Amino acid sequence: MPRFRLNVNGKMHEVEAEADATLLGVLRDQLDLTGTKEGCGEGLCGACTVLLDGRAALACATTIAEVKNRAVLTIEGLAQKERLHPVQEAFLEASAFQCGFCTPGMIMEAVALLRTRPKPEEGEIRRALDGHICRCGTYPRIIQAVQLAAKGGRRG
Amino acid sequence: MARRAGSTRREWFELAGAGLLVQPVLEGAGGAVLGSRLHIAPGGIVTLFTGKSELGQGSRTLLAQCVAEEMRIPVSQVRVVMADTGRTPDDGGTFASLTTPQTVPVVRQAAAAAREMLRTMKPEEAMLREIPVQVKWTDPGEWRVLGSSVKNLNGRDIVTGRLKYSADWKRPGMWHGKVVRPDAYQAELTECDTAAAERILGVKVVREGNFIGVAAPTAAAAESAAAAIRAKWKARDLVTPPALYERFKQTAVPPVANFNTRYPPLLEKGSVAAGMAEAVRKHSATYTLPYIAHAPIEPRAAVAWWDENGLTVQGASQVPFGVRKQLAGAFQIPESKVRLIGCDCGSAFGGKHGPEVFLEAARLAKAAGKPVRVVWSRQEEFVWSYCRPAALIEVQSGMSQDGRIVAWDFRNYNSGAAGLPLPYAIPNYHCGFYRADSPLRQGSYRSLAAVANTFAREAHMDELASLAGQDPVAFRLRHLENPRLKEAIERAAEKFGWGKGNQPSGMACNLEKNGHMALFVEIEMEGRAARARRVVMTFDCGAALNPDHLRNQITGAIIMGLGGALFEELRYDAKKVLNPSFARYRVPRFSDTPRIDVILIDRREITPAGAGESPITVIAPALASAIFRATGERRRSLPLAPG
Repeated sequence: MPRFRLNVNGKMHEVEAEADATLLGVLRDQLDLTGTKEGCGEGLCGACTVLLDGRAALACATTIAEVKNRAVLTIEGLAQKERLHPVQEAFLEASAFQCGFCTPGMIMEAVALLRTRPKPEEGEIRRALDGHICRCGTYPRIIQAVQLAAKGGRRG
Repeated sequence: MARRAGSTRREWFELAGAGLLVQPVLEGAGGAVLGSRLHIAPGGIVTLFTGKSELGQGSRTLLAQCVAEEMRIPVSQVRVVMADTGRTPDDGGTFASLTTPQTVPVVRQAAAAAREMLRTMKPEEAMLREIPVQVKWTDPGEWRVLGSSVKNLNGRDIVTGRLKYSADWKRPGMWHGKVVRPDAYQAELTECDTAAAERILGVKVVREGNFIGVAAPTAAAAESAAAAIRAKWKARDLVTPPALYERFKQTAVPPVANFNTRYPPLLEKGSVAAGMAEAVRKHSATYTLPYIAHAPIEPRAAVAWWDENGLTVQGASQVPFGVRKQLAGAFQIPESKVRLIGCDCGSAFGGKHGPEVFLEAARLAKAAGKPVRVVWSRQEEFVWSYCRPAALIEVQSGMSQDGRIVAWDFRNYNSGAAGLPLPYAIPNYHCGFYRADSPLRQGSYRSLAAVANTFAREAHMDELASLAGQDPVAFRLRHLENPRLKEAIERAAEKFGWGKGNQPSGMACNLEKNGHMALFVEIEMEGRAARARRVVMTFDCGAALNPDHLRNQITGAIIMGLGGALFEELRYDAKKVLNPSFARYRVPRFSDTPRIDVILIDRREITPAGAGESPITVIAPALASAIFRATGERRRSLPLAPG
């Protein structure tokens, strides 16, 4: 089986996998990074969103061969030790979740958005996140959380 | 030494020594022990044990608030162990919004009793205490933790990806399972060639009756082995809409009055025939709802293993003790030899009652002699889980000269009795649930049939208001006596600015599971499609135990309800489901979400009703009403604006 070197959350890993194995499967089953979720396996729900060289990518629709030398950042790599990323803080502050299953994907997408658009309009936030499904229906709070993170402040 | 009254918290926990297990005893029931409920550790950490599950509705945090309130400790000192048949008492399934009305009182009593016991006990007294449950709990006027918006206890684990869901659990030496599904919805296995699959090294193939599954060391190997199996199935045809609705009537079983059930199937008053005879304006209409999918964002999954203790399964379930019983039955072993270890669930909405994935994992684990994990694909979720029942609802009504409803005949075919009770004062009515044959597997869904029954009832009320030439709000208020429901309508109407804007708008109200609510919506038409732009909803379930969680539930229910109202439908033909993918089964997204204002009417002195479900019931009829105002067209079938 082919071997791949992967840069995940700033650490190098060597994995054995078929070239068409998905990044999602490798993260979850081989590297034990289960924070990235599988909601549909066909690129339609956004739950598996990670960052590839800083840009949002669907881990279920990315093969391990495609990752090559690009840096993978998952939800587990976002906080600096115990210090949460501002987007994580904002999701907590706005209680922008119920079951929490879609949350890692939402957070990663929001991080990617804020890197290119530090002060997005509400419409931009909706468009950027529209590929993500939250069945609990916490969309208004997620928008609020992204706005909060953009402001760099706390609610109220 | 006896403790004096008014001991400090620190004294209690020193007293607890190496830890104390509290077992409430039901007085007057032969001193029956209700099971271990609380553990008090020397450091002051109190652990609550409950058979309830956390599904995203906030039960973990709410029950921790109950313990904190009654024991006078901070929430940060409370841990909650949930849904583990080996460690928690059976608190019934997590459904029907029962955690608040049923489990909250039990936990509060246990915690209040534990507080009293700690205040008075002697250090040499046992590690394990059985305590009477009848102890006065904290008056709402003195609440410090209940009634406040305590944050989700799992919040940090959720935003860091550390919270483990069903598919995140592993066991040493674990294999992966895959079930081979029929190529049609109703099918029997006629031929099966497993030779190619069995030649793959290290693959175990299981065939029992209609069940074919494989287990393999990796998920990829299990997938390839499953794909290598050649099976032939004999399919039976399914009845599809619109013939489906005729089929419901043909197979209908008339209801018999029964009030010893949570949802009585027949409610009658006066004489509908006499009411109709006196009516000067009569109206009849038929409403339909299709089958829809729960589509929880987390597909179901479980790990199973067999050892000297019997069978253990791990994964999220709404009914852990029920599933344990079903597993024991399936494998012909005592329930004491089965343990279900639950975990927090990536949403369920009534869709995770069954044993399916646990049973599959357990069968494969037994055959393979190894722990096996089965994770359903999205397609399996859409096709092989049960769905929300389709409904045919026929309503006939009559009004007097002055525009009052004097007769009401309401028949729900197939979907259920929840939501049948009328909030309106009508002198003659018949409200019945007629059981019928369903071609698709159907079951519970958030608020059960209350969505269907509220849609038909409120849509019909809107039509009657038009026929009577009355404003829909005024028409409802004229037929209402319940002051809480009236207030919910009036406050929502005022906040919304009912009758003031130019955009087409609609409204609906409901009294369901003791939740009083009204919803107003403003829409915009885009061709045949309708988009909700703005929603105002009032909700009164008595005391709001955690106002922010309650708002979150209400908003979420409105958005979820929007999907079923506007575009969700599980489409199928004679053989199979046609849209088992998020590409073809549309669920609400960011772009569908209106601006939502939720007004909580918090009545601290009134014992709270559960609220996770019923707020889903009012969006569909309000939208139908708004669409009528925009187009002049009465749309009586959900989804209202497919596409």
